[in-house]
Amino acid sequence: MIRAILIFNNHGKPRLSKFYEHYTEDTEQQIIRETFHLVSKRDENVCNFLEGGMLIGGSDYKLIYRHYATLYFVFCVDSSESELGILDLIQVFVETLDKCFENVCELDLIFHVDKVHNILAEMVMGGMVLETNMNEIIMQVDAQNKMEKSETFIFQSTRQDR
Amino acid sequence: MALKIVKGSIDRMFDKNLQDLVRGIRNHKEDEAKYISTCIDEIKQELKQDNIAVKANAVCKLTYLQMLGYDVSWAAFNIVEVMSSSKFTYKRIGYLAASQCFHESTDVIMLTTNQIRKDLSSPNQYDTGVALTGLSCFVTPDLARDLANDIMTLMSHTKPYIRKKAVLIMYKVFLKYPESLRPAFPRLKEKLEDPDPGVQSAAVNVICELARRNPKNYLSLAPLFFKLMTSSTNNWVLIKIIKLFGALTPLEPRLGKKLIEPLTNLIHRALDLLYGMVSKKNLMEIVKKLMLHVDKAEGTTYRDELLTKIIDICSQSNYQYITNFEWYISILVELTRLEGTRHGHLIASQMLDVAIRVKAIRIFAVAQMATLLDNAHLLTGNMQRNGICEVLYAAAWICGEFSEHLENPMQTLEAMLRPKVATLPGHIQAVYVQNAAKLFSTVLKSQEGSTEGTAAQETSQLMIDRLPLFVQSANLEVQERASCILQLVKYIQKLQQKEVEVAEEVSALFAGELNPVAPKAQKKVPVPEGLDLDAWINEPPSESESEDEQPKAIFAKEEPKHSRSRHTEVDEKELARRREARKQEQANNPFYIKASPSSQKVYQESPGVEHIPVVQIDLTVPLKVPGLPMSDQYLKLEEERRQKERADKKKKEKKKRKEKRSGRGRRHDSGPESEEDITPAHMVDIVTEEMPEEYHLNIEPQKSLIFERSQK
Repeated sequence: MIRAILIFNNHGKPRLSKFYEHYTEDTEQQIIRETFHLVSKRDENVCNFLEGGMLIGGSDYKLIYRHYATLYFVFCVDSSESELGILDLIQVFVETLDKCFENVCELDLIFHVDKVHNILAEMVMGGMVLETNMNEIIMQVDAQNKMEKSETFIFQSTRQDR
Repeated sequence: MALKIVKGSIDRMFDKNLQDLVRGIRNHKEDEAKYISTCIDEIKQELKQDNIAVKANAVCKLTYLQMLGYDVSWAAFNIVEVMSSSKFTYKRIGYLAASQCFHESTDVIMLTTNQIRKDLSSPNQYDTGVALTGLSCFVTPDLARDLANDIMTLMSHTKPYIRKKAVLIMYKVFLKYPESLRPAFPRLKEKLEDPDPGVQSAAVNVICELARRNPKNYLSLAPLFFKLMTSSTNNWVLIKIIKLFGALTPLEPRLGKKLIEPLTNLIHRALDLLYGMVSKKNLMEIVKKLMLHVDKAEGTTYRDELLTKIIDICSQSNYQYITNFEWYISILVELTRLEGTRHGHLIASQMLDVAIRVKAIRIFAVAQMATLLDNAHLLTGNMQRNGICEVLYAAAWICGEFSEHLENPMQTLEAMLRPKVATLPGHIQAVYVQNAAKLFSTVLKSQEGSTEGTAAQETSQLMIDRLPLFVQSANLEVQERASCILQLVKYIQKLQQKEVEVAEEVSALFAGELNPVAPKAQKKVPVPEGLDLDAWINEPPSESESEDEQPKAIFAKEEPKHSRSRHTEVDEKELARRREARKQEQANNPFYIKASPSSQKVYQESPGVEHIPVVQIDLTVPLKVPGLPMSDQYLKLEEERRQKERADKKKKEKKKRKEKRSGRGRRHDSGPESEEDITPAHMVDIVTEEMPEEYHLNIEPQKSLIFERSQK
């Protein structure tokens, strides 16, 4: 099971935070800071897996992360998940973002975090891996985007009528 | 009233959306808290509006603020309102907000039950999907109890998209409301065989999680999972199932035995992947890891598989991925430590190939091989065909052919003529004898030049003393070679006694280089004018003649030859097929020398050798032949070298980067540098296989290009 998915930049600013276990907002911020602290001091060529910080469950949980340019993608998982599998999932996630945003960069995540959540929702549900096939994920995301477009269009026309 | 609406609309035009909020916060870095507090006030106003679109927009912004650490639970009721919108867009926003901040003590959660139930039965699959996703994050015991049945029904929905989500959320439902497990379990089991792979994966996921908590109850599912494991190609599913078996096997020992076969197949598939994975950078590390496995896999066929794999990936594409051939030779030598391998010939052929084609490495290779020959007694424990003693074949040949690089040729010559050599398989002895002659020639050359007159004669005497043992060998090849060479040496000794200088002439016997020939070389040799390869050389015998001349089978019953099978016009296809078969055979051997089947056959028939019980020396301490470097040293050296290169590069890049202005940079994997950056440890000149000269230059076709030994 996945306990949390975090995306933050090289200065520790959160760009997405998804917790599958309830914490207060303060604790969530602390966890983000602690995770950033643990992950940012790692050298570029060391292993991508490390033990979770105390706040998030300690040695029972692992942090699996990847560093892409200015962003860290971190998954906090328990022992039922395969580390390499999660590492692959992060790659799928990033590639999906790239497809959906066309050459994704940090600014896309900053201004459209709701879209990122929608994409993530097609991959992980309730802390369990839902879908790993990129094409399948994108297909569902596109279908829902279409729905959204058709609804807002209708909305706009009625708004003008008011 | 109308005016109010118009005024409202105008106000709405100035509502910030999410992007505006984000931009605003970024523009107020100094007074961020104050700015956000203003925004929250605006949001509160928006939430008082009747307009659901406005509320949705406000909730969307609140979700963002929650990520920054602001408590938004005061808006819980509004979130529920937005969840209840009939429009998918707003519904989605509502459920997302709920999943981020609702929890068990959120009191409005009770209000959501009916809405969720409505959404679960919506004709729009995305409404259902969004409800399931949201619910999975904030499900409480009450919600679980109330909605369990609805969700169970959804497990059999027509759309796989819904089935997948429903199956997955059941785990959360079980966690909060354990009583739901029993009624739901049969349907969950059914889902393990759902036609849609996504649904199947979800079911596997759920049951694996359940089984981790309580392995005993799921032992009965083991056969079903076994079937899934052997039939599934989805790696995620395989990983989960294998982990599950890991939890089940301690409870059922028989399961462990049954698992060996499929797991071995999986490992084979993984090994096959290595082929594509290998690169210049990671080859040494990958091989190091594989060597560890080889050490652990004592006495199994798996070990041989690994060995073959290591050699395959190293030698693929003409050794493209090897940056340090000394390292490769030391790997090959380490592999000779393996007892009971059936691939000795593979290692031997690799050593030969590398020594011949990588000129720069010859000195090193020769030194290694000489040490190997010296310590041959450690290797002769395994006399099996293709056993590790095959490497001695390679070692002897390399020392003989490149004897000019030997430090102490006399010592090596002595090692090759030890009586113990006669216990080696015949074909290896034959090589020893032949190359002893080559070494003899090298030794003579060095000794004749020196002032010590008797040394050369002593060498000859050594040969004369030791060769007779081989002359008496049961192996014909060994016998013949030894006899020829013995006579030659006796003649040389006579000349030496007359004080004639013989070294030059003796070395002329072995002058010239044997280079590997390209497999296509034969094809490229143009057929000379007037030669028809398809014409019969002799007239085929007539029918009556062939019957009379059939030799009487004396020793063995031969099958009667069919004279009809000979036609003057042979089938084109038949010709082509034979040509292919011939080419194949030749292509497999880089020297275009047919592998001598005769010596091997003789070995087979020679009585007693195979029946001698072989004592397996179980060396628990890895065989460390003195004088041979461990391949790990090379790995360390290589890493240090690369680090240094990288450090130097970084300094250069840092200077460049300071001058560049950073804009909207492209996302890229800030991983290690590309292939081209790796400079190999030493530049190797790999001798490419020879092609017939006139293919390149168009000269006369009569030259024999297969062997180019220039005669003096």
